[in-house]
Amino acid sequence: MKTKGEVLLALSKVSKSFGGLRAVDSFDLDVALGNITSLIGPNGAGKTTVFNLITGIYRPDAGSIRFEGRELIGRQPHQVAKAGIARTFQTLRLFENLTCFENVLSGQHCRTSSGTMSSILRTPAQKREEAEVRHEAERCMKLVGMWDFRDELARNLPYGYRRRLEIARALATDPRLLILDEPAGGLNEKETGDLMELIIGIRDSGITVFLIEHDMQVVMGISDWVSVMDNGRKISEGTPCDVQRDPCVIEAYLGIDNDDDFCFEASQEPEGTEIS
Amino acid sequence: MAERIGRADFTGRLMAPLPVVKSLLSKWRIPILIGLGIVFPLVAGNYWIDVAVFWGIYVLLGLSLNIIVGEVGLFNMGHSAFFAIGAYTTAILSERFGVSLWLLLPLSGFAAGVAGYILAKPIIHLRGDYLLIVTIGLNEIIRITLLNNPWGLTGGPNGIIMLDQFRMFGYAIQRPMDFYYLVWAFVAITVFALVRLQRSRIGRCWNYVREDEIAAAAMGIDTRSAKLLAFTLGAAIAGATGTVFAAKLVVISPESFTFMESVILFTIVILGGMGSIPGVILGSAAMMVLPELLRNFSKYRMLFFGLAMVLMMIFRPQGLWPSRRWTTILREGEGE
Repeated sequence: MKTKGEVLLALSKVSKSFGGLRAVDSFDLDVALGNITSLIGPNGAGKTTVFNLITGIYRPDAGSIRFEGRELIGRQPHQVAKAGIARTFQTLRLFENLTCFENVLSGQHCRTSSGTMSSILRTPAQKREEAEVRHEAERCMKLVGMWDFRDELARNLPYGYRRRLEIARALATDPRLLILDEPAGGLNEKETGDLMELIIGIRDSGITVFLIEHDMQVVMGISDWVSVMDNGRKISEGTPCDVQRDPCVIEAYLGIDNDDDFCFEASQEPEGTEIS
Repeated sequence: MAERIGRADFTGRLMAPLPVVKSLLSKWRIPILIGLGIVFPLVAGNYWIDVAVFWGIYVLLGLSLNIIVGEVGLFNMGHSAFFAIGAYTTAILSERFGVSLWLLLPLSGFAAGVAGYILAKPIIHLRGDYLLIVTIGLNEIIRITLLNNPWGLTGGPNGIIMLDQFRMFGYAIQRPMDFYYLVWAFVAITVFALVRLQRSRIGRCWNYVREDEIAAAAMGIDTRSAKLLAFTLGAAIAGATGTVFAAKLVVISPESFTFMESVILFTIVILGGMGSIPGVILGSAAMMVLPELLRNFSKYRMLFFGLAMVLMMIFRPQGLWPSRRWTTILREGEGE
């Protein structure tokens, strides 16, 4: 049974240093099942490092990361993906010289098992598996509205579609947790709106979403829970409303002098009113 | 004006049968090629049949290296080491124990595959040029080991003379024409298997690793074992080719497996187009057949060669016949 507040991913006292820099410092976070959780913070706060720790690209110096109650630390990135965590990258990492369809097919690799010999002999089991894989990839591409681009090489896609393709590829791994690293980065207003709808749709289909985002319109618009990070530490967390009022957060983002042009509610305040 | 229209009409009528010819060609091109291949030795002289035999051997080697370099993007410039292991396994087991060559074919492939797996395992995480340097080293180590005649097995610089031949129903395969059919039959089988692999889960995962290793891992692909599989399979095919090579050459010696040989194989893959099977066939033709055609200029062979490489890198870096992506439209048969 899915009770609200059931924890899917739990980070506790996770730390990671690079040389003398404590990128992530005793960081705690719970991602609740069925929610959209956002991780925000100024540039260099350590957000992407947290993602890389979860997905096994880095190994934490201390702490524990539990997914569905099982420890993730020490697992290789592909094992993390197989466990049910899919991700996208801040700087897009598509398979540029392959078609969009092939890109999305990659997600199904870890859910299938045909080997070399059965592929050469095209055994009935292999054929059946191929058909299933194609079907699943088709479903994911249609979900993000990219089926018409299936035979296009990834490198020929316009930027907004590249972001979508990465999400489709991640969805094809059949994840329980989808991690998005700045999905709205570089998108225009319309594309951002579509993306928000897409993310909400993904959540409603039963996949928990955890994202890093700078676009506050996105974060405040779709998040169920927001966690704020600065200098590797968690400085605040709560519902979007709570976080916006937290003085710690305002200080981290705006500085004490209040002289930044950054605004949380972009919709309410015109941009660039005061630039000192 | 009228004259111009008339002319256009004329050319139009002249070109009209062309699409028919084109569609016939595209539909029948594989049977036509196979037919030409079967007829070729019946009309060509022994010299050119021999050239075609070596072309076929290099196609096999090129295809095996293409798995490693083209499909997965691992820069292996020591591929002739695995070819050597296959050839020597064949020669030693055949001469000492009289094992049949038909049995030695898979056995040599297996030996080279095991060697490939063991040698690649500790170095497979290396990237690009680092891997390239290490594989050059492996090539030299294997060659020098063969030269040093360990336990009197390899015959040192003189090599081994292997007298046995492939035998079929009491008939020994030793004429150039026999070898031609044998080698190109192996090419056909290998191409068939590799095309199927390319279009399967395994072939795709190799391409994912080549395109972006980190993204591939994030999609749940065990990149390390994917690379090891490719390396092992590539080494195994090269090893099996070694058996054919030993049967053809009779004398197996270390000088057939130098670093230069690896460079030629590497060039075949790059020249043809990474990951492209027709590219490998064309690339080996360029490396094996063209030098024969230009034998009169053999003094300047290396000069032509270097010049061609430079021009290729400038004007056609994707190779002679770049690999084409498989598309859903092709699959559904809606036309090309």
